[in-house]
Amino acid sequence: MKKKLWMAGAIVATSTLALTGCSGSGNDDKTIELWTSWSEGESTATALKPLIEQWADDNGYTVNQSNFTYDQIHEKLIASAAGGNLPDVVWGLPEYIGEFDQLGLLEDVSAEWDDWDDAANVSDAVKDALTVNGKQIGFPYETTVRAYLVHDDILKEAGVEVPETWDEVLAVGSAVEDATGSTFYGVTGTGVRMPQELVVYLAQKGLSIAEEQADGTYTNTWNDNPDELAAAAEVFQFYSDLVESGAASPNSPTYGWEETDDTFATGLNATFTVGNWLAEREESNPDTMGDVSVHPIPHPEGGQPATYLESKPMFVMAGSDNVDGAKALAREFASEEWQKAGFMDRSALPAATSDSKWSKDFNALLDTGIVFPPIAMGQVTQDMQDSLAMVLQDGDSPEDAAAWLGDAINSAIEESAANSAE
Amino acid sequence: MRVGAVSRETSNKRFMTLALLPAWVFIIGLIGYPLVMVLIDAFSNAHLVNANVSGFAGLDNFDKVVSDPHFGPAAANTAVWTVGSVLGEFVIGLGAALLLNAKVRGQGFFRVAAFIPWLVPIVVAGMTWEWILNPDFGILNSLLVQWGLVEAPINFLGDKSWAMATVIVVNIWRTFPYYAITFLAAMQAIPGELYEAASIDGAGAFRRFWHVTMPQLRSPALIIVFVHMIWTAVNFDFIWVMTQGGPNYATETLPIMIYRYSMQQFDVGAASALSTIMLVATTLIFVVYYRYRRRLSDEMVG
Repeated sequence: MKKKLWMAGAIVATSTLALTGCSGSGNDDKTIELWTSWSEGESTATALKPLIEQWADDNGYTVNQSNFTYDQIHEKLIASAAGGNLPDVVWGLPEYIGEFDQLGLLEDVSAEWDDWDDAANVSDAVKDALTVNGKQIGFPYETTVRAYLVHDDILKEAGVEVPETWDEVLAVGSAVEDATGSTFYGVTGTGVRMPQELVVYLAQKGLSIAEEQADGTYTNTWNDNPDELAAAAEVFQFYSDLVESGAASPNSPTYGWEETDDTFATGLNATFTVGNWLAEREESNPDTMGDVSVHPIPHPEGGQPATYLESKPMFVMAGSDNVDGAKALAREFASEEWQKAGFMDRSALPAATSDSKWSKDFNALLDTGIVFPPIAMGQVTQDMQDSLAMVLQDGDSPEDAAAWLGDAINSAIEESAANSAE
Repeated sequence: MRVGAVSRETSNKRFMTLALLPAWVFIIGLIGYPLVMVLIDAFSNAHLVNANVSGFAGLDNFDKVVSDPHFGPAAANTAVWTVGSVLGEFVIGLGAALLLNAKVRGQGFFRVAAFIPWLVPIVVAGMTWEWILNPDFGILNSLLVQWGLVEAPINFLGDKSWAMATVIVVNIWRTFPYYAITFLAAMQAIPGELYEAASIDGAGAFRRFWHVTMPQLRSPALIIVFVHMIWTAVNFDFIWVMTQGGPNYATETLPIMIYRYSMQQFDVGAASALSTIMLVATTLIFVVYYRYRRRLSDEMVG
């Protein structure tokens, strides 16, 4: 009898221990959870890891660094917020700012920004991109604009000049592919980069996906303004013509950033609008990346030059147990020393730039940089992908896609406002 | 004596209760509680992050789900994905079991080799196939073009007309070993006398298979088919790894819709409502299985 009860008690005790072992160990007072999104083994990672360790030693913290893709970071942050277990410092994307701010997930770092020695060296455009409702929500750890990259050798072989306008792009059609086997013009049809591409083409037509209204809210106005709707439809028509003319690969409607980066870096695609992180491909693809030149993104006749200014925010998450340390670490990523080490030529600080084409030629486009409006972008980015799929995959008219997207954006804005934490 | 017997019975009950307690804790904590919460959230206003979104929602969440333009296509996709996968797995698995049951040299090697796809983690299998099928870099398209079987590479996972069939084929590739091993085990339990008697009666190979092997496989086949129907219908990770429901929702199934509601729109109420709908559907599958199982048992008993 006693033996049986003892055994049963042991089973219960073991199970209880196992169950309690499933729960987190909890942070001690000096531990900072850091989430990054670098490519393991590449120069950014190898340069920053020792700096993080040194900073932790100098300041008496333990920094637990985890690495994810940006898509994973977004979803894991939401899941962590639901579980009340957010990390402390996170590499973010500009698209997350409006959404996370509405959900009350971001710490205000305005005071730390004001005390920051390098703050005066950061352009107003970058500072504004990291400002929501008058408060700073992060430090710029990586800042780039997009440019139109061209494999000069491929275009030379095809006898094609670098296009400056949409019409010039479409006029080339399949000539480059016919002559060289490489498709001419890169298009991103899905994933996180697709909305970044679309928002530029819209800006080149003078459009924004959401305009600030007198009451401070944001609304898409295309369906209220026939001229805007027609201009938006022309953007979708451009996408359609790219594929129809043979300028872009018929597979591009389902390309994400992995496919587009790879096809350009390997020379399967001759020209592509992308950021200067592709400089890293000069090492991994030396045979095909040596002929790359940098140009402004082709724009429509009568339109305006524009590019996507991507100033990635180093978030400090609300409720951090080590908020002072977290803010200090976030600011350290934006410091001149760390920017020079890990983000040379991809920095908001002029000191962390060089004379290379990856820096000088990209920075020449900064004045035409545009950003996403500070709205919750989660559903909006999905709607933008769906609208392009309507045209490129379902054969819907550009007019229908533009009208649908305008309504979908407004629905998403209304829904996110209804669920706002404020 | 009587007092002692009662005492022993009481102590046995105590022991059983204590021994079962861990299992009950797991069942209540890891299955019961989440299940009840899903049912409650299905009728509530619930947001993944914002606790201020609350209150009774009635049938609003169900209304939102069934009026979602993606619901009908996703339900149809779920049916195609489930039936296509289970049918293919059954046929290929049965064929493989017959081959593996044949007495040939290297039988052990073939049995181990056939089981390998099942051992590959879903994420690894999905990503590997994604690259094999890639229209620009994939080896399959390279071979198809090289051999002159197609003029241009096929965008297997990016073309709406190919995508669902492709993910089903890859799912069959990964899962058929499970069927094969199950059927193989059942085949090896069939008494050799049955085949000898059938042969004496003049039955050829096909009739022996149809009248001896197949009836003996009914019981394991019933279990494996119905279990896999439920597993496949609620499967999320395989499609998510390979297509994320694309291109343009062509492979979106109901579990992926649940994920989008929850993790992209943060609408836990709608996600729970759709989960409840799926729960009812899979329960119906189980009820059908249970009725067939009972009928089969009755037939076997006599």
